Amino acid sequence: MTINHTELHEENFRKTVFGFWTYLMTDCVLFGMLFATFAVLRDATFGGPVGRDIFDLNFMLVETFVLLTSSFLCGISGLEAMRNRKWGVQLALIATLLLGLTFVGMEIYEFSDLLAEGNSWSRSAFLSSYFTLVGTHGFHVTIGSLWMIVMLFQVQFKGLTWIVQKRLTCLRLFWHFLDVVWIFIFTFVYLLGYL
Amino acid sequence: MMHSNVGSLKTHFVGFLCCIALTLVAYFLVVKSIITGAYGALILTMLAFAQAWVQLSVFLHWGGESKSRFSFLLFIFMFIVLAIVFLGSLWIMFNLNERMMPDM
Repeated sequence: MTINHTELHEENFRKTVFGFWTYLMTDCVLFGMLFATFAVLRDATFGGPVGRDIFDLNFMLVETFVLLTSSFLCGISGLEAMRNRKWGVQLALIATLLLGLTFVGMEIYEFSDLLAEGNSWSRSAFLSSYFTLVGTHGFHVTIGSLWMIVMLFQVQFKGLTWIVQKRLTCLRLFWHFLDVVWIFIFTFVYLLGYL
Repeated sequence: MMHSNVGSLKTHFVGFLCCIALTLVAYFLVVKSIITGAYGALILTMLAFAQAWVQLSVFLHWGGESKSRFSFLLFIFMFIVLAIVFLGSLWIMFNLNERMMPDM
């Protein structure tokens, strides 16, 4: 009896990606809860600043484009992976990573500015929920960036094996998902905070 | 083929440009104060969902195995859970708020 490795790999690939998609769905629920909390507490400013006072929309626009472009480049890495082009994957992933780190850097800058002004998460319920929601997203991007660094090493030293491809697929799903969540943060936290 | 659904370079570019456009429209509507109030909130919400849909279509085709019935069911289930808890929380909290004694 011979083992058809390709079929086994296909099945394993499908199951893993499905499992990861399931995880992403739970992450959706998590973010949904954080959004609900923010929605309920957004007016609980306790004499402190409201959205308008602390949000710099121009800065947010740049942040949004940085993350959006990183998501696009991540997609490019997927195309390269499909064509089995190791260098293409590495270049696209490095570009994605650099933009992702830029995004995190910008967010840290934004947060430290708020803290320096005394507008920390303990200032008001509005700020608590703001830091939790945006911070959780930023934390996800940070973890994704670490994962991306690991994958860059794996691609370099293992090459584009079927297992590495599987992991890259999961990483791409994760990264795109984070940009989708950001659309809602950008809209409901920042833009609606200005309205 | 394991990763059959990665789409094409063209769809990626088009999707990317659409997202940029949708973001800019939302941004300028707010910054130039073209829209306000609840009406404005509704328009922004629609723009957000439109962009999410663009990103999901382009990336669902990237992710591979996007046509799986189970993945779709999972998505629907997640959406239902989210709707119940999100809308339910808002409903309850605003209702509670109304029933509280007015500020003196």
